[in-house]
Amino acid sequence: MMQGWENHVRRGCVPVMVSVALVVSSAGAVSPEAAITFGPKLVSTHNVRNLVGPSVQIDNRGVISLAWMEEDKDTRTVFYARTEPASDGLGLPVKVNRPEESPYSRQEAPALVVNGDNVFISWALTHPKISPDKPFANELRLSRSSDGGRTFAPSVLVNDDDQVIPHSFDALHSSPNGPLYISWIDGREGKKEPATFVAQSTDDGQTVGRNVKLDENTCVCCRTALATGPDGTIYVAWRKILPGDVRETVVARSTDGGHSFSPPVIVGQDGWVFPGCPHRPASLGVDRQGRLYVAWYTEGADETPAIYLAYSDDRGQTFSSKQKLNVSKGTFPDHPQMAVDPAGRVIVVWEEQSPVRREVVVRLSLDRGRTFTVPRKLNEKKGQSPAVAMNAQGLAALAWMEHAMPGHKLVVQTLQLPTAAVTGNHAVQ
Amino acid sequence: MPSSKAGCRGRQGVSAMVALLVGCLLWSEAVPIRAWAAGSEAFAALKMSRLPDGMAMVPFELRALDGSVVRSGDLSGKIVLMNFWATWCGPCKEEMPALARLQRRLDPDRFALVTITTDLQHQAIAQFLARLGIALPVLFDRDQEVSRQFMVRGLPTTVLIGPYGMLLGRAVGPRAWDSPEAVALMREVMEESR
Repeated sequence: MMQGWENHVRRGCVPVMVSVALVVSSAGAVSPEAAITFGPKLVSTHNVRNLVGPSVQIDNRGVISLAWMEEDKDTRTVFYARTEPASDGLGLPVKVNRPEESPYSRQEAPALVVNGDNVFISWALTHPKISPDKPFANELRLSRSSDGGRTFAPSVLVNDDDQVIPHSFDALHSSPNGPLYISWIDGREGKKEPATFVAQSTDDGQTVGRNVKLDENTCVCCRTALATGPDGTIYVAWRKILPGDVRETVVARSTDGGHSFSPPVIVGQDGWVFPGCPHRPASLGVDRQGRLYVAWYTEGADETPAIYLAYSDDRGQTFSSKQKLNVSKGTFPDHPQMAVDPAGRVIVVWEEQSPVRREVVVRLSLDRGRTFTVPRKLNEKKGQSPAVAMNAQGLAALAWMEHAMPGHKLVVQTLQLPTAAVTGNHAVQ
Repeated sequence: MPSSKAGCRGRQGVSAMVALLVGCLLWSEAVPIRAWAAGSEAFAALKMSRLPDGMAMVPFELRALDGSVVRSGDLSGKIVLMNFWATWCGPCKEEMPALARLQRRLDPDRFALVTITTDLQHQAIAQFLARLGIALPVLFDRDQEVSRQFMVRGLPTTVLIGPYGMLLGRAVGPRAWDSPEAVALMREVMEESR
């Protein structure tokens, strides 16, 4: 359980709203006077055996929400916490699952969506029919709160099969006043490789509708991603296995409210051959002009680890040439996550790893993904599992986990992007 | 499996940086150094990266599935095959029987096989191994420190370690660990370590 949030402003570690200018790339078209303001860091310590996460969201009032899972002794618990507008810290964590529910051990944070006072969290429950001959099985559950995360209703089942198998690597997404969408991977058809599924809830998470299969031959361990465009187009990204064990990040779209999806389109034509588990998801975002952004990890045909970004102006039918975002020569990039605001400001966060370091770095684009600021390191210790969200005012919330003895730390950092007009406007076809 | 030489070659300019060097060396399938006479052919036959001399395993201490504590020093004097895996990794689980068969074919006084996971599902893993009828040592890397030090990025990742902790080879992705090529490589390395 969390030991308490430390506001580094109060502790004097970081001055209040320090105006740290993020130097923008001189090579890019980003205006050089653009400055990004970093807010204070919020740090919480969790003296538990294991912590997975966090997921982060930020609403248009600037309220930050986090979801994560803790494991202590043999008990796993999904938690939610949020900042309060009049407070400079996060409120007390709220247990999401019921005491009788045992969350399944997993490698990624619970998925989180916040829509006003509605909070949705998806997580995996150890399958009630788990048995010695089927030891790795879970149900995908959806929890909802309608009071801003103070209490959570009993979770509902997402997957509509009754098989004792894993249902995981889930993503959640909701557009304002739209349905709640959830995507995940499961192998209900019994084939060697699992498939990608989508479902939606049209009653604020009280029930979840029919599961729709998008595609098969899905890479079993790379989390899915979801986004919706201003016209209601739904996008789902995942990593697909192509003949020859080629792993490609693909995107499918639905223009009929999620009832059917297009065949997947390969984003980067990476040609990465890998017969194992990359365990690295893609990330999606859409701006108000409908530009679809994809950030992903690949090692390509030459097996060089890289983070790329590409975008589509024709609703995911074709993609721009990919732009490499990692530049470090001494570390390997990993686990990219991206947020896009309606104006087309893009923020991408990822890990830079070495045997002795694990850093969280961020790059920003103020011209709809054409150019990016130089990378900036955010963490002080061994940071991992970064997550990012951004509201309509260009206020971003970044969160990650830091391993520290004897506990784990969750760190939240806000970042205000310039509100000046975003360049790079482009008509969507 | 394609070589990773291009990726590391592309980083020659910064190879003096320790972090990159270690990471790159841990990854490369083509770093042209040798010391162990175990021929490159033996590694190549298994599509296993050959690691250069001088790289030592970072000491560790991990809790095992049976509750015991395993220290890297406990493995000293043996050839060690260290397999990183996860319960959600299909290819990892598929290669486990082959790992067990390899273990059975080699002298336990001179060869040790350990599997390491960050997946803390003790009971389920015990059930999984029991169902397969195999007995592989499973160590839990709770803080992910060992995985990080070995730069485990994709799964499964398997590292071959010499009798005194020297890193010899590395395979990313599944392998036929009970194949004649795998057995021959282990025996060749064991023979050389006498």
